[in-house]
Amino acid sequence: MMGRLFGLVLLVTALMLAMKIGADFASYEAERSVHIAVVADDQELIDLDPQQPYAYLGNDGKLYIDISENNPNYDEGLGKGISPDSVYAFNCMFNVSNHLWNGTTIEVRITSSHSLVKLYTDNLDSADNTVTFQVPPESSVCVGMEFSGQGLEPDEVINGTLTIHAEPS
Amino acid sequence: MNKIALLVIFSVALALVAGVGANFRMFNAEREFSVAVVADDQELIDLTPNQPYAFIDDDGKMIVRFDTLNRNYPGYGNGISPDTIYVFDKVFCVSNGLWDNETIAVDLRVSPSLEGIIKLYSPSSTENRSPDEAGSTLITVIKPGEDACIGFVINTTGYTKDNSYEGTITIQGYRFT
Repeated sequence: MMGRLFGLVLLVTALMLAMKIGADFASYEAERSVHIAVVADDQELIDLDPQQPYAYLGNDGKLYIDISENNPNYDEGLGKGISPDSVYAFNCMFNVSNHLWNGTTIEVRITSSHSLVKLYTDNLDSADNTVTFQVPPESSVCVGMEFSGQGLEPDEVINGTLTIHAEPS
Repeated sequence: MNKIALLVIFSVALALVAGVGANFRMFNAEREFSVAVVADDQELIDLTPNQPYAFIDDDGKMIVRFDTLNRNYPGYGNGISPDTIYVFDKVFCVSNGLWDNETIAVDLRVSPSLEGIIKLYSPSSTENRSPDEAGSTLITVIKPGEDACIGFVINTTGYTKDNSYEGTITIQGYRFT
């Protein structure tokens, strides 16, 4: 009986220590406001900034790559797309820049969901479905894109997504 | 004092375990792309037939045919005879329909199977401006919104009738610097 009581006292003491609750302090409560601005892709902490007319920011603030008449930058008389079995590469389609406030270098990985759409930074020969690169604080890196019409026919559309992932390097 | 030390140690331990340091951890986003596939005469660097010998085939690709399988074949003039030379101005045109106002250099190359029979020229070219200067390769510079039309010199000297010759012309465009 004494042993069990001692054990209970010990447990309560340990719990109080673990919960940091002293006998002289009961509770603390405070409210702090949190404000997060939701901004367009070219203004956020990690920017996605269009560098070519084929890339633009939609009304929803998101980056779109669109080589067709639906692109708001398309004008009458300009090319309407890519043709079957042709390959186009555009250096610097968009920028990824690092505007984090804490001076962290980030490692960015971008993956294309379509095998005919590839990505590269410096060297077109290394274009692949996934590109990985580092962006130091307050710097930016240009991402180029390669599009292939291999095996396609007119009126087909290459649709897909770019998945952009960043973490501290 | 001990309590404060314990509180600090516990808080640091909790921050480490929960991973909620002041440091940035991760960023994820998905963005869409869309590319229209169009025929050769509508694309960014387009190839537009300018003579009946060139046309856009069902697959959207331009093809040049001097034979009866050409869809513009009028029922006469079935080909080119041995030991003759034909010159056709502006068989097709290459134009710069890029959206970014960029001048391009375009490099055309006749495949080895046709090198002896076809040569190219273009007034827009620097080195192959006329039929006399036609070559198996041709480089031309095209400003935004402009085009370069490509002429053919077909020389069947030494070739015999009832044969057909096929090959390709490879067209490469790149930023002119």
